[in-house]
Amino acid sequence: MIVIGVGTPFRHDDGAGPAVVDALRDRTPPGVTLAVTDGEPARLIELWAGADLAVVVDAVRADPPRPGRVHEFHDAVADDGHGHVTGHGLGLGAAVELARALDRMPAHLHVYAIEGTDFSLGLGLTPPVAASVRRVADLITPDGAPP
Amino acid sequence: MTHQRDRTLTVGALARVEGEGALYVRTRGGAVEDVRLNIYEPPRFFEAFLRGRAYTEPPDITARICGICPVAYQMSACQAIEDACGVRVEGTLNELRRLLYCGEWIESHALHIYLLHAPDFLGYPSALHLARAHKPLVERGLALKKAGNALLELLGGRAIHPINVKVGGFYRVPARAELEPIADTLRAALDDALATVEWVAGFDFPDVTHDHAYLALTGDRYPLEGGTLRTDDGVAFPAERFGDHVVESQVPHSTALHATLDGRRHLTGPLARYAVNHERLTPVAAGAARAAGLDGPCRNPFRSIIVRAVEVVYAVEEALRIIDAYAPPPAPAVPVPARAGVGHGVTEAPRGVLYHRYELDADGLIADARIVPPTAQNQSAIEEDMRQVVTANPDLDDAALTAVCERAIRNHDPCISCAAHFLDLTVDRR
Repeated sequence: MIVIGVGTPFRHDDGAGPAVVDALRDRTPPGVTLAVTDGEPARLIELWAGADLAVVVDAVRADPPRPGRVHEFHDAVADDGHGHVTGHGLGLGAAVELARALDRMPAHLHVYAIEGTDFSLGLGLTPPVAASVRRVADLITPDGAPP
Repeated sequence: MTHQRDRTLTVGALARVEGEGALYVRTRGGAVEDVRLNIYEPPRFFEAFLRGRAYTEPPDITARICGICPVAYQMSACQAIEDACGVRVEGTLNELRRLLYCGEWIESHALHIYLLHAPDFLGYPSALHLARAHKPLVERGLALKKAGNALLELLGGRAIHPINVKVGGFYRVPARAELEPIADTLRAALDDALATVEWVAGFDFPDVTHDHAYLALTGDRYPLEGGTLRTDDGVAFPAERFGDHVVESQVPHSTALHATLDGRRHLTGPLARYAVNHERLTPVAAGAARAAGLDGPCRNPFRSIIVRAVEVVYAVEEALRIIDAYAPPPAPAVPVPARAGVGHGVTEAPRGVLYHRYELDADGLIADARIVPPTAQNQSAIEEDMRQVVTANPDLDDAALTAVCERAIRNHDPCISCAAHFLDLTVDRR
């Protein structure tokens, strides 16, 4: 099992994924790998390829917004609908589709997407996102993140 | 996509970062009046964030400016701080830095060539579509990228935001035996890199020529971790004169600063590096370049994909050379005692010249920091390239014009964090 936190702590709520990984550092059972990445699809694919279970925690914006709301997805994350690439930012959905095309999906993928509100540069999560980080960290155990 | 608890959402409404880059094109009667690229630029934040911090911190902090080129930020930061402290890192430690940088070039260029740029030339809307149609090709690209990753993981401690780099050298240096498996990987990668040059050389390239001044580092070797700045028309200056020649100014339409070189629009990156340094390539890389039709400086931005592929060949060969000659240094780092002073560092990030300047007080606290990333320098050149393609394609509808503009931008590989994410295009034409 691998837990992957996507994002950067230098952009406030974008640090939700890495914050979950940090919260797990002192209580990770043997056999669970922790990783933090920027969301670049090829890196995500390298991290999760061959894993029995990959848990990805990412911060997202949603419309309409409800900061701190947690969305969960099992094994089904669609393409981002844009259908094209602009810059490096292909997104998690594109990473999943690319991994499928290359047969490099983990056996099971579980995604926690935490809705953020402040993605500007700076340290610190907004209170609802910080609360959700604690909640998601508690949910992620080898038994608690079922495929 | 399903949402487990309350309703269905599309990922299109869930994006990590969006709306921070925008492209605006205004035409009147078929003539291009204005092209503006609005990019978001984190270095300003990091410059402020660094003030008052210890002189040992910039390599770790600035590595987080960019997920794609953290090594570049670390190398320019280390070099600038060591310069301020009157220390020069040489010999094996510098070779290890160069080796780490080779890893970043291989990884970054392979990503750009295969997942971002090649689909443009082959008529696929994305890497996903390319992967579905040509799985072995994309697998070759990922294998190349992974070879670079292996270097980053060994020397940097991890591939993303490497943690093993410090002012003066490294926290830990590898044993020779640790490098040998990577050499095996790199020997296989060299075949893939050469095949990549041959592959991209066969693409169809729009007939476009630009006239930007080219700025790159140069020295005894093809430039990565250091050297002297030089333009393709022979203006040369050292790192400490960077601020005299490259001047940034605010433009109303962008949070990023626009930089000019002695008042001229300029370009850094593979095309500039190759123009200034093509004679410093290894024989194999130079031969691949010639076979791909690159004879001396190239002024077609679309052909930058060939130059990147040639640079991957060079980086793989250079990595193998460094590994072959490697014997561990006596210490993983040299001492860098703090002192009051100003230091400058310039290295060649995959997408161009990256400049850092630090002013330290006697206790080693940072009084001032300045970071000039390649994409900020390239912004005016990118806008000019877009002006050219919009002018050449007056009859395209907005969707087709967007695609053309995105291609023109991708030619210069702007960095996700240094520059553009998720560009929104506005076309105003009457």
